[in-house]
Amino acid sequence: MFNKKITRAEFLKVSLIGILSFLALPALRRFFRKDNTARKDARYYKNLAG
Amino acid sequence: MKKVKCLLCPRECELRDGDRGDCRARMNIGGKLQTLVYGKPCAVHIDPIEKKPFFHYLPGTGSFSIATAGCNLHCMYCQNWAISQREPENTRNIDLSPQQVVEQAMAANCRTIAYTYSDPVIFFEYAADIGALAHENKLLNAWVTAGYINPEPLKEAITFVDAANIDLKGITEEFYRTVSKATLKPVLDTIVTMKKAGVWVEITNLIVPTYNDTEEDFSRLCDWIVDNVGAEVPLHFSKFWPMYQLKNLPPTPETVLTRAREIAMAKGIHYVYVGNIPGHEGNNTYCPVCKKNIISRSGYQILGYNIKAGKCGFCGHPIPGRWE
Repeated sequence: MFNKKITRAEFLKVSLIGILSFLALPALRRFFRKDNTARKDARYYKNLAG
Repeated sequence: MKKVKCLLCPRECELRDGDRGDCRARMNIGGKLQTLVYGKPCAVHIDPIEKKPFFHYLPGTGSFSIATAGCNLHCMYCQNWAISQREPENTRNIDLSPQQVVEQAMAANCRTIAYTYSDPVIFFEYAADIGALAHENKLLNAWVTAGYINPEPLKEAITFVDAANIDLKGITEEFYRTVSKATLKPVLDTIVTMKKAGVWVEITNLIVPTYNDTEEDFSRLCDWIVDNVGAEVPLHFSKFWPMYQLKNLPPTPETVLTRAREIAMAKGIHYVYVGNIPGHEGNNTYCPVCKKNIISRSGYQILGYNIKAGKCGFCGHPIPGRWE
């Protein structure tokens, strides 16, 4: 199987998939990012008018 | 506009809806101030208590050490800038409730929980809840702090803080303004208030070449300590390592640290240490009366120990601190 020649179309297809994956993974991470901050009431503050 | 004013530290940030405090850890959300770091530490380690540094507080024990992202100071030489000068979104945080912190500290046989690396002031609510639970479980709370906090929250902190290593970064307003983007007076007030309240206090001064390394700086700092909190308060002079925005400077020469220690001892301070230079004479504790070496250290490691029931093992002079 190692002797099989890769056609130009196959080479381009695999390269395209590779490039798209490389670009898509960070983008996906951005959409599915877990919020790692808390939201808890703080103390020691006052509300200001205006 | 639902504007709020944070009263936790002397910065007293005024925040419009959606604004975040200077510390990056507190935010005005719909007119309510919220902490973004409660239960979300970004650093959790078990360290020797000597690393904080505490040299007179349960020597040789482990300290369960935690920090969250953010800080209310912005020191140009910060050694932990990767967490202290970042928003909590940009650090790798774990979920750890106060109950879990205490359980893990006990499981690791730690006697203390250290609030360190960044500054416990900015995760005050989290530290307060852990602190209360720690006391219920016979653990002690050790703050490593710049002491930049307002009097009212400080009054509360004193109810659960057992020991504090307070970083006295310099002794001039100019140093604080230039290097730390803060002010000196509140720090001095915190040191005095904690000492008066019975919190075990040690002081650290990081010596930064060209910024706070003159003999006059050392003399003024030591005079203030002797006059305001007494000669028995341990003082640590630490070696600066080029970091963050001061990479252009060299590390503090050993001769400067040795000179600072000599000046402090000449001013009458009994326990003066040199940090970040393993093997230096200033790693050890000497009895101020018989002058013998009673705790021999190399860095954070204890090599010899001769304190018995809180007294010098050679002459019986009481050594201040918590030894058991």
